Amino acid sequence: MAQLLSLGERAVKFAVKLGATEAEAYVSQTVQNLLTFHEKIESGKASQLTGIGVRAILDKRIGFASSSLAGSENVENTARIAVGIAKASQADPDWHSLPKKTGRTRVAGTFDRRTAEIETDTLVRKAVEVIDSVRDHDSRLALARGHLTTGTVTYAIVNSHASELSKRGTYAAFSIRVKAEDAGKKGTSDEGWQARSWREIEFEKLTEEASQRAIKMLDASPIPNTKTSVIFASDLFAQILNVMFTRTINAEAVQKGRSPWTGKNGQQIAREDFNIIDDGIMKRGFMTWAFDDEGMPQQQTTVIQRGVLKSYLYDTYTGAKDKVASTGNATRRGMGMFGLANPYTRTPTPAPTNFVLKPGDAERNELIEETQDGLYVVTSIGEWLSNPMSGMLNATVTNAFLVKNGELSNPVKGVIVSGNFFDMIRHKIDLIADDTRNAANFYSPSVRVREMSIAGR
Amino acid sequence: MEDVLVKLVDEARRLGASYSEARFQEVGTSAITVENGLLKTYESDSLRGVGVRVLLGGSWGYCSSSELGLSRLKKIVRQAIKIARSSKKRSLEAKVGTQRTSRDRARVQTRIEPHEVPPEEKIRIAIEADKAAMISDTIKNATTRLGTFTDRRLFANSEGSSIEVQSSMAGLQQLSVAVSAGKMERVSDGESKCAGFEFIKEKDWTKFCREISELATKAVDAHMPAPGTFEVIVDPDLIGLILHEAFGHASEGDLVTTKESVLRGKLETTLAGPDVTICDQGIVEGGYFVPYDDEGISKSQTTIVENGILKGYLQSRQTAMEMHMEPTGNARAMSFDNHPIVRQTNYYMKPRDYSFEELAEGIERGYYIKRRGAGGGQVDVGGGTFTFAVGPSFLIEKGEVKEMVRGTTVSGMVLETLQTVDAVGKDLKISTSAFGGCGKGGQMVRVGYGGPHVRIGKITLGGHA
Repeated sequence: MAQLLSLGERAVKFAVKLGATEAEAYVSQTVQNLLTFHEKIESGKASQLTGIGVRAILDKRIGFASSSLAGSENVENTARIAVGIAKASQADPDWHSLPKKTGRTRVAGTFDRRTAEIETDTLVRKAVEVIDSVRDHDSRLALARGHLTTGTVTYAIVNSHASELSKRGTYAAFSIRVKAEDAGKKGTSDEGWQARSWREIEFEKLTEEASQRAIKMLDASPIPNTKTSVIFASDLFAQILNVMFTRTINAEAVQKGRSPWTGKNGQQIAREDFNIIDDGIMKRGFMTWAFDDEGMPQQQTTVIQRGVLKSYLYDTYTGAKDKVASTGNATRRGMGMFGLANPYTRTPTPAPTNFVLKPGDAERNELIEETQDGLYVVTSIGEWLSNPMSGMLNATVTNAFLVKNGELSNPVKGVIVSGNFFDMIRHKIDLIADDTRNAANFYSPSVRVREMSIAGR
Repeated sequence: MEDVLVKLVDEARRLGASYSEARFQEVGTSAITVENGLLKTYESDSLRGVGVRVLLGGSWGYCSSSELGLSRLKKIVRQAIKIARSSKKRSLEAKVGTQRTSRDRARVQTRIEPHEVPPEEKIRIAIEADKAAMISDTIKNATTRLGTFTDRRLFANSEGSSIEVQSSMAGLQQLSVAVSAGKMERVSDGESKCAGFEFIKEKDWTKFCREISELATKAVDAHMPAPGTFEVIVDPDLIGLILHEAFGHASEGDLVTTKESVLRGKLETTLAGPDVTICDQGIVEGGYFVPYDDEGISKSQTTIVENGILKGYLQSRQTAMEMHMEPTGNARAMSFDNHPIVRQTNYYMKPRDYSFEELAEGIERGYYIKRRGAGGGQVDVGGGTFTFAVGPSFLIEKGEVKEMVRGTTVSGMVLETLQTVDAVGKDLKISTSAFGGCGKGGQMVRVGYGGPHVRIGKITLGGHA
């Protein structure tokens, strides 16, 4: 970490020397192990990438440049390009300053030594266990695809006003696709888990669930067009929250006129039992950190309380514009010009940390038992294509079951579930369970929604 | 750098690898975002690194680093060897065969190198385009992105191949958000080309961006289509996306050998209408530039479906050996820190002889669905379901194109949808994007796709009753 900090210091000093009135360096190092397998071990990989991103400001003109690093070779050059871009830019009238006072919150469960020390042989042993357990479950089953990932990330932030900071964290991920084949019929199912440490992942349970469901899906088929209650499994609804809120609940989207939540602060936008917090300091949370990507302490922010919109998510820039404090939501994650970007290649914008829909008081089984007619949707594809501005939600179902008189019946796939998300959270969600699960940094229980459209055959 | 790669390949052989390859990559990117008339960000990135892949005892090992000193790189060779040894349990028993050695250089022809264009000029073009999109008070947000990149890849392997490929690309993307009567709608579209900055300089982007805003203004007041299964005409932008999702992925050799794909065991069977011919081609007008894949295999034209019959799969060296077929040059890696996996390049349908009017003739009630304004899709290759987003589209009644409907999501089944293609148009358009690509196994690669206007008998639209 000391090495990353010293690279950052050099960049900041050099940018200031070239005339920057303020400068910031964000340095990261990612070490990752990945194993890809099916019935056999396909490929093991280890990679290491170090990079730096430099923001240079010349009197409200902002420049940014980034580079991967081989030693300290590119540090000065990256700072020079950032200053050059700042000189070519127009002034941003809303620019206030880089954070003047950075800091950290006490957090737990972000770094796990055992996860950091895992090498390919451990991943191979686990993969073999998973492969065998699928086969042992039923001879009609095979593991079609599996991924095991572990990694360690180290970040350092240096800016010309405030004290420097560094942090280190681990992550582990597991995903499988199980395939069943019987007399020309086919069924597939997916399961996965993302966590901060290897030992949090329940490999056996997930493998068992995927195996059982793949067999059931052998008989899956579309159903005719209808309108019915839909029960969304917890991790699927977590993913829907991601699609519907990430790009719109941040203050930047609101200020720039691309959020449906503009002007809705303080208004009832959801049912009374719909509560969301952005919890940047949750123990072992997937996006828990002591400070955000510009060095401000992470915190808990109430976003929706008893259905009332309470706050947008802010970084320093958008906070200054609305004359409020940063909520510690500056992040450099997200899509770059091409796909998911390395954080050091991006400038910070506000986005959710751990975005949590609070559990309700129903047990998961009650959602099914109390449904006369409905569809229980476990997995879908394309839900990320939904439109967070119009609220139009569309998900193409891959694993689902009809619910008849409080019990799961026929398996279903290949239908589109549609509804308006704004209408769903305001009027149509009628049961929220207590079985919280996460899809990356989004946490949700299972929920039941009335009157969803099903487009089928 | 070529010499270093050869040293790494030799080092791997010395340590026991039966086959090895080393790749160096250098990418320069610039991305400018202008929002509501003001420069939001100007991001400039430079990425360099080396990856080494070894085959040892039938198992693969891969290791990569952004540190480029020779001692560090020899260390990644040793680590790749160690990873391959660790994978011996349940070894793939992979073979790569012996392939033709290539020594070649290929590059996209450019007249103006993107990195030689002053930042001021790029900013000016992006701001002018963005301001043109702010056509009225209905448009609440106009975001314009201008991007360029150059991707240089060096390849060497233990068979003596040595290849350099350089691709360059430039593009512009517009997103317009319209608000009317309390409703909000977003419409986006972009155009990119494998070329230098001349592609940006020579096109009227103000007109392009204004049109996107006009489309958003109309779409926000349009109705949702009714949910259900319909007969549709698909535009060339969208047919490419459908083929890519509905058929492209399922035809990838690695998904076939692992038994995941519903196309496994279907060679020489009829899976599409008789007018349907589909190929994957490395270099094609409008598409992305893939003269060689990341295993050093030259990529030419691969026929996947001919007159409705499945003729082949996309192959890497390894999947080709497993299936006793030839490699097709489809092993691609996102970057130096990823191993190559089977990917599409430019996947498209060949034109036939229908005019648009002839396609519409006889449609009692259906839709003319278009990609412009949306895009993106996904497939479950095992379950055989695919889905994609469509932009503002049109109702067709009694053979005539009627009013606009809002964009929505569409889905179908891999083994059924193309069977219902009963007429194929005579136009052809292939396109690619600097701003996105196709994701698989955590890797994104740039792809191209396209085709003519096509009539599909049965496809499911998600809408709102």
